[in-house]
Amino acid sequence: MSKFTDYIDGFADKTGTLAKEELKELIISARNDKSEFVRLQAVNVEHWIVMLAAGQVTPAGFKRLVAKMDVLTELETIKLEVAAKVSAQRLADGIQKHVIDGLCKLI
Amino acid sequence: MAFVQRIHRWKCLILVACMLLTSTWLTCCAVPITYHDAATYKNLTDLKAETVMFVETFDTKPFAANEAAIADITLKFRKAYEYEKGKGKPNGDTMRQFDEIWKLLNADITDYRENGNSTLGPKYFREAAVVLGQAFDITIATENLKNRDK
Repeated sequence: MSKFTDYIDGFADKTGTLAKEELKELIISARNDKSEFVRLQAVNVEHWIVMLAAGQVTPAGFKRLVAKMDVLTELETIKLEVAAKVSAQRLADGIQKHVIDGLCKLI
Repeated sequence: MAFVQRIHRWKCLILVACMLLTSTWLTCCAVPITYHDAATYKNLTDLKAETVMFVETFDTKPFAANEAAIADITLKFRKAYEYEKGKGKPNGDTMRQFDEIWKLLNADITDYRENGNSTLGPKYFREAAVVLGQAFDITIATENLKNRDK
């Protein structure tokens, strides 16, 4: 975390717009989140901030990368929706097989 | 004793009736989702490898040198997209994921065409390629979640 925290701490922010401690807390807690997706996003943001500090991406490039997180979040949301539908489909298929094709033919 | 047996028989009848009602409801409202498709999985893994390696080159290669490859990868993506579209409405979730990936890839190609990495940083596209790979990973994982058709 050192390069990341050094960069955040080193920001000259006279207007107080940047909540440095909150930002660091947010990244640290996201890195320990239960969700693999959230942990990955925290690693992404931290890595991009280090790249910004090293001049490997410009502020415009950094903003563009952060905006890409919206797309990843949308993809993850669809994945969670699919997981729910898959469970319902498994139940419907099981009932078709065991109740309609099985039990109902016996009673 | 006869009374207890009658109660038990009624309980069984109610249970069977509930199961029948549930099964009728579930089969009437078929779950709108496709089954796992090996062709979709292969298209996604192939496209991931090709597009990620390709976008990584944007940091070092001039646009003119990659123009033919852009047309080629766009065609491959379009073919895979049309395959998914052909499965119809139950495949809507995968279609949406293809749309989102296309947004990422198209934005990278547009940035590359307009400015290269001059305004975004010397290692911008290397990182954009990583995000593109993550987008494919989520979509591949989504396909793998799906039930296998019997």
